[in-house]
Amino acid sequence: MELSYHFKKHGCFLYAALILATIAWAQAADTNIRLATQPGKLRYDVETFAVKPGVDVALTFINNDEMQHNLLIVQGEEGITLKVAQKAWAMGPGAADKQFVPEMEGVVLVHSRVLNPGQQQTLHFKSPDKQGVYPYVCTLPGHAFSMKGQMVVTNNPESVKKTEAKPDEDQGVDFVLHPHHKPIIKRSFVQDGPPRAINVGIPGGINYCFDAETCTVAFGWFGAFLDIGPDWGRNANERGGRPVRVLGERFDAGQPFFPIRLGGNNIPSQVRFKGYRLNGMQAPTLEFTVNGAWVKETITPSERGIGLKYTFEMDPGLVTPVYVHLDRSDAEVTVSHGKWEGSWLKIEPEDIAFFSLTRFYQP
Amino acid sequence: MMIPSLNKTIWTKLICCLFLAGCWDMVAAEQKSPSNIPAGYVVETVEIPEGITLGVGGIAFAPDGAVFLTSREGQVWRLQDEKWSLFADGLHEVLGIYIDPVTSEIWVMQRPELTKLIDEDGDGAADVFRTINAEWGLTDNYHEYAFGMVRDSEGNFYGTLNTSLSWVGWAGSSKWDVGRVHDGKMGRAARYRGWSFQITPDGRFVPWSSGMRSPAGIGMNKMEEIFYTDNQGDWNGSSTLQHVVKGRFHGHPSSLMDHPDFQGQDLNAISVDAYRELRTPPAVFFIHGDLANSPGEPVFNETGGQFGPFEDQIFVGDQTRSNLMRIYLEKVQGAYQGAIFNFIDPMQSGIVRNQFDKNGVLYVGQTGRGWRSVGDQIFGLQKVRWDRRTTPVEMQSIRLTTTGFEIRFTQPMDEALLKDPESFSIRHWHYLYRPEYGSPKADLTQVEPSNIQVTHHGMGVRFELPLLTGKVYEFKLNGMRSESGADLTNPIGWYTLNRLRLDDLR
Repeated sequence: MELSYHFKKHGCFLYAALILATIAWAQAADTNIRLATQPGKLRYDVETFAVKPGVDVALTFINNDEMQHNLLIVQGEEGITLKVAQKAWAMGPGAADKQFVPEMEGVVLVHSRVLNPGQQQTLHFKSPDKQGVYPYVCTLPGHAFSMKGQMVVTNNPESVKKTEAKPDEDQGVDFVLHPHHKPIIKRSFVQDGPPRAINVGIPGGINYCFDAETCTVAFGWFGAFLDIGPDWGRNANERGGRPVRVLGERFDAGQPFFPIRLGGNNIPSQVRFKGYRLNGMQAPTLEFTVNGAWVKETITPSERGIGLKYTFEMDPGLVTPVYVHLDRSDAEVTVSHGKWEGSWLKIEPEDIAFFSLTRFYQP
Repeated sequence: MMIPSLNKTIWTKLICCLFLAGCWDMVAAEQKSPSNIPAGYVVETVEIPEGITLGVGGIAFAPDGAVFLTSREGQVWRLQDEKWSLFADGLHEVLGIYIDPVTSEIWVMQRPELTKLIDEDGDGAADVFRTINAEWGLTDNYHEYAFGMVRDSEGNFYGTLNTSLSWVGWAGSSKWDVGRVHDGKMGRAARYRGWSFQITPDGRFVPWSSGMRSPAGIGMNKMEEIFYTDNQGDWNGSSTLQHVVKGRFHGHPSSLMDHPDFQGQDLNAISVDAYRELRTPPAVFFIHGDLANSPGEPVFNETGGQFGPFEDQIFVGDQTRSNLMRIYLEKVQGAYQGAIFNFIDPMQSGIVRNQFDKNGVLYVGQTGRGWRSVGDQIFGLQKVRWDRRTTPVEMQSIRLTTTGFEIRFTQPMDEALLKDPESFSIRHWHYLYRPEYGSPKADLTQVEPSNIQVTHHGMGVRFELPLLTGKVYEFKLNGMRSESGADLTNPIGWYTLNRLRLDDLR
């Protein structure tokens, strides 16, 4: 059992009231709610429940699914659940430590921690004094599109029908790919992307689209990964083969053209895609040749902000310097080796065996 | 013609039990199994586990007996001893697979590239995806399929590339409206659309033959001759089986944009007649509407007799009608032409892929998603097995003679019926070669056989007919029965006559 906290950071009156109520958790609750996740559905089993204003609530949240989930009860205007979730997805590598709960003053009323499969947690809180609809949502990357519901605060809870998710309402959810445990690769046409696209989703909510024709990263995005319904066809009448939907928010990957030159930054590169290698739980490695020289590129989320880290491995036998381009105009860029010559980073031959560039935005 | 939505497993079990009890004909009638199925053949439905979506794009057998199935959804499934495992995922529409019969190496044809799948860590799933070749053009046009694939003994792969859906009225955008000729519907929005290609063992792309429209299936016989099927549409009056030879032009002109002899030329300035002169006519027409609307992979029955009395013939399915067909080919004046018959009609879903396993069982891969099909399943896998003892009652072949045709049967027929001119309704027509979509049966003409002679002790019949090249001949055998009184299962055959026979048929 765990209390809800965060009172240090959030000062709004309502929130403080909730916390006070929470501290007094030992008291018997006026209202008991049981709410679980549905296995394999990305849905809560209860999608509407009602409580009276200002009463002690004991909400037992049970994770029946095979992946991690949390539960945040929030308040705000229409669409607030997705906003909260997107803020959570943008938290970067530290998100898990913070239970995927973003710092949004006055918005997050109460939350669970991230529950592993099979875990449960009882949240004790005092319901808001103000009648109204308070939505709840799971903020793990991508879940917010379907894992949501509403707590209705009303003097007449009996009038509100408790609703439970029906399996046949899952239209569309079945086609969302979630890279929870390990990276996922999906080759397909993608909205506003290149035809020879390789879409890669990495756990933690950072994704990218690699163009296997030009060997550049076409774009990145954070948040949920892909809805492949348009590619698979959602039903018998859909042919599929259409561009998949990027879920989440795109960002520029900083590679407007193939970023590597050998020997000089004006020497044209002939590039040929050679495939990729899955590395289990780790990000996959993309392979291509530049003027015959073999390059391995592994793309991972940047450790700071929102962005991508490009790690290159090249044949250390090459005696020419390597020039790497990465657009620095609107993002921060850090590098492991090399010296900038304008927009080109020059890597000396002794460093080409392994070097990286990281490009990120501070949210 | 719809299969009732009876649970397919129950259906299969019923068929199997009753078949073993020797009541095949009764079962066929009572269970509403395929309305046409030759005696001695049985269809078994492979149960695909709940949760697997398998619009079959390719079938291949590994040396250890495992079946590999690739899908439109981009997965590669391995099936062995009724256990399914995912060998590869996240690929882009896999419409072909080849497994080396000795080394077990696996290659797949994805829409954007030919890829070798390697399971380096031996955990039963691919972890290295090695791009072998990706030189053909690709846009995000829905119709730019890459179909495959066969491999010759020198290690060359062959596949085919669909034209682009270019006409704005269908494509919904003008961005692919490139290379339409004489207002045809399909065009060429990227390089080598409408070509077959070879990929050499060192990974080079060699453009092979041009003029394809929607070349949904490719097959190779033991002489390493390659055939492909093309779907009816613009420049294709009816669907076809065509013999692929390097340098050949099969008839759809958009592909000529990438032909070295046509660089800088305005393809619209070349007349339809000139294109007709350039093209090699199809070996066999599928009869649009009557027999097939969208044929798939042609596979040669080289099973050493394990699949009945149709050795060396082609088996090919149709996506729309969900029927399995049979093609007899013969070489006349150096070129292939021949006859086509219905075989099993209908099966549970649209048929796109066929492969024989080493026991002569035909695996039939199916998909109906998006186009639907007569068979009401969205996707599926069925097996066709011959019982190795029952001789079906069928036309084995239709062969051209110098003066007419000879029809051969799988068993002796009633001689009185064979001799009776009333037993034969024969018509011929041709399909128009034109940029418009499809063709009517043009110049439909009824013809009467003369000088009818029974051959091969009742297993054949010859007759004379006025012979015209460029025609499809339809032979409908009315009330024809075997010596023992059994009806023909499929009483119609169609012969595509391109060339006349100069020597006597031996």
